[in-house]
Amino acid sequence: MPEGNGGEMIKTTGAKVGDWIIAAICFFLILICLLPVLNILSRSLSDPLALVRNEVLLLPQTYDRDTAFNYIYNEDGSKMLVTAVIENTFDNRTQSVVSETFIVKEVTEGGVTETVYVPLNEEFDPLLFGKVEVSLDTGIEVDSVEVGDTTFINDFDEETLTGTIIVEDVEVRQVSSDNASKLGVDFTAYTEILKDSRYTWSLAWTAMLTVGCAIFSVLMTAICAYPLTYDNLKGRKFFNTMIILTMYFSAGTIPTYLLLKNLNLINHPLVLVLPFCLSVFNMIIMRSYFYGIPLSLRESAELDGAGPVRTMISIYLPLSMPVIATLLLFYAVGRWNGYSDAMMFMNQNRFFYPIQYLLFNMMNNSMSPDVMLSDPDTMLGRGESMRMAMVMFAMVPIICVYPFLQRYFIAGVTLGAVKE
Amino acid sequence: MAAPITKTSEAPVFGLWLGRNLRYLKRYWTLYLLLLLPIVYFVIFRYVPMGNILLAFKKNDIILPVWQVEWAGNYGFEWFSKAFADRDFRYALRNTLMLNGLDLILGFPAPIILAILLNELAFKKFKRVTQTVAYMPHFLSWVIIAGLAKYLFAPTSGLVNILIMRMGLDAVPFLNSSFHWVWTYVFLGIWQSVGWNTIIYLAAITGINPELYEAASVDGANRMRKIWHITLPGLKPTIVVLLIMSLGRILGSDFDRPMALRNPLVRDVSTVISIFVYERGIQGLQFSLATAVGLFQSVICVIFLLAANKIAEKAGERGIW
Repeated sequence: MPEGNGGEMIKTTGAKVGDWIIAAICFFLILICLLPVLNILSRSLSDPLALVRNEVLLLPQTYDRDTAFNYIYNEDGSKMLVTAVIENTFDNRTQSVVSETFIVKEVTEGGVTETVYVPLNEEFDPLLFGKVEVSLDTGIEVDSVEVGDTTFINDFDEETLTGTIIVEDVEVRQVSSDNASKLGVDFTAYTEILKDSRYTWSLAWTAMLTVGCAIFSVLMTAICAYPLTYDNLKGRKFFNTMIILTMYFSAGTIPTYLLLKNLNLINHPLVLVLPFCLSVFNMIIMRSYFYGIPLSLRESAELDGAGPVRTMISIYLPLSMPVIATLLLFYAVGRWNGYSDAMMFMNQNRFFYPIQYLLFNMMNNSMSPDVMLSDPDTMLGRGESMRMAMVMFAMVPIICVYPFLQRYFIAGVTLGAVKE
Repeated sequence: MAAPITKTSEAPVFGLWLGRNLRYLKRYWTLYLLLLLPIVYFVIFRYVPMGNILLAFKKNDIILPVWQVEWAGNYGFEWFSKAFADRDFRYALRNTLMLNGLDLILGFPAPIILAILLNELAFKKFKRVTQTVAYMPHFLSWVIIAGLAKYLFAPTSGLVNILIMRMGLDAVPFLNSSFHWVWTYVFLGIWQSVGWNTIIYLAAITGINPELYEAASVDGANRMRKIWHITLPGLKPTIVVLLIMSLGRILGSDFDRPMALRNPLVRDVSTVISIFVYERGIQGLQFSLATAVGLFQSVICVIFLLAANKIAEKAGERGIW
């Protein structure tokens, strides 16, 4: 093609303003997609206290525990166990607060400065124990707390709680109330999850289920699609109609449930595999792909004496690797992400819960995941960071895999759409 | 190896037919063997449950099989009238239509706009990156998305509300108030699907003849005019087909998405038909009522689909068959 000479008229003139605006919009889009993931990642890597205090935005935050908090120490340097027995004079409840850690803050109100001990034990109702104030009347001094003589009054709205804090040998360190967190990574949430066999098993089981289901489904799809590509197949119209009909009219949830009950599949792990192993939409994609393979190949195979099955195995399947990869991905993603069938059909069999259903239960119970903590403080924050770590585990496998299969699923979707 | 078919009427016709078919079977029997398993699957898991649909017309009985249960009152339509009398069902119906309708109005144009934007993007590498990132939300399960949303949109501790509060405004209860929940629901739906849905539109755009664009440049068209006069008409067939399918599904219901995003505060807007069926049928053991509702939904869906298809064919586009 000759240079210059009429090429000028259609030549692009370099990036224009509109291009930059579009690029900005796309950049914003990328941010919207990635920032939530970053937020969750940071939360999973943060110190529980930072989470409870809402200090985590986009980057993980930790505390240097020994300098950040005020511990009450024994003389030998070990942390002290402080037991508080609170009597609620309002409705005569008695509760026990056990905490190893108190945060000491100074609160100035109406010209009066008080020292406030804030126990960080979320095991108890934060409404009652969110703030335990030191009454100045009782003469408690900041740097010495004596055994058995501490009285706290907690005013929460109009309830008055009177309590006694029973303290053992103690040395109180004064500290500032402004303990900012700093950037840092805390892998405890991840190690806790990996130590808990329930979660690791669920991840492993879901992985096995996904791989097995995907392979089985692709096989089923292939053996369904292949015979339908034979134009001279008797009964082809019947089969086609019968199969496509199921895409538009389905029996419904309850009839399916009753069928599965009659088949004794309810609460059986196979119920995650069988009822939805063949997707008609995917079958159409595969069939369209098979149509694209030249008939001459099939004919020459038949001339060589190969039966249909042999032709499929030696010719069609090897040539269909792209669509096989696509459908493996589609089925795998569907199985990994699915939780409604476990919820409806396998609710009682906790052992075989897929990971998303486990996550669903974790999210919707206000209980944190059961964690045995040696350090009773920050259980709420630890629960949240563990939930976030679980979300990462459930999300990362697919996110790592899909970019490499883009070419395939783009082609697959297009193929399916063309048929429609 | 075919026997000569040129024999005259002396050859018994039946024998001929049998011979031909036997030869056919001998050659192609393996195909039927291959089809056996899928057909068995369809019959067992898709067609046999259709028999249970009869339950919608019978009295509620958990123990007896369908054919032994006696018929429901009111010529079998007792459950349908009960359903419409039930306030929860009417809410579920309203919610389904409302949420699907909003999805359609807001969520249908979004991938089209994005596809056109991506097509116009001049920086090729950046386009690749944007597409890859845009596909990601589609691969996340709704449990994960709900988790992301719950922590991002939390009233006091969520990133979004922290930013809003820093700007001096009041925190917005994205997931806790019925009104806001609906918009958050729709937004998350768009977030999840917009990237994926651009695939079809981008494929269709690449099918448009580039000479049209060049001719338009010669005529002095700027970018916006080119989009309006070339790209959009070129997308029209695809848009119509996908619009039909979406309209046909207006009463269909997703289960995963509302189930993951709902919470006890927003029950009145988040219960859709599929969740109603689950709660009443599987949890509440009211099989007949739930089946009746499900049947109603399926039938309406098919009617809508057929109607939308007819309309499209009248408008001159291909149908979906």
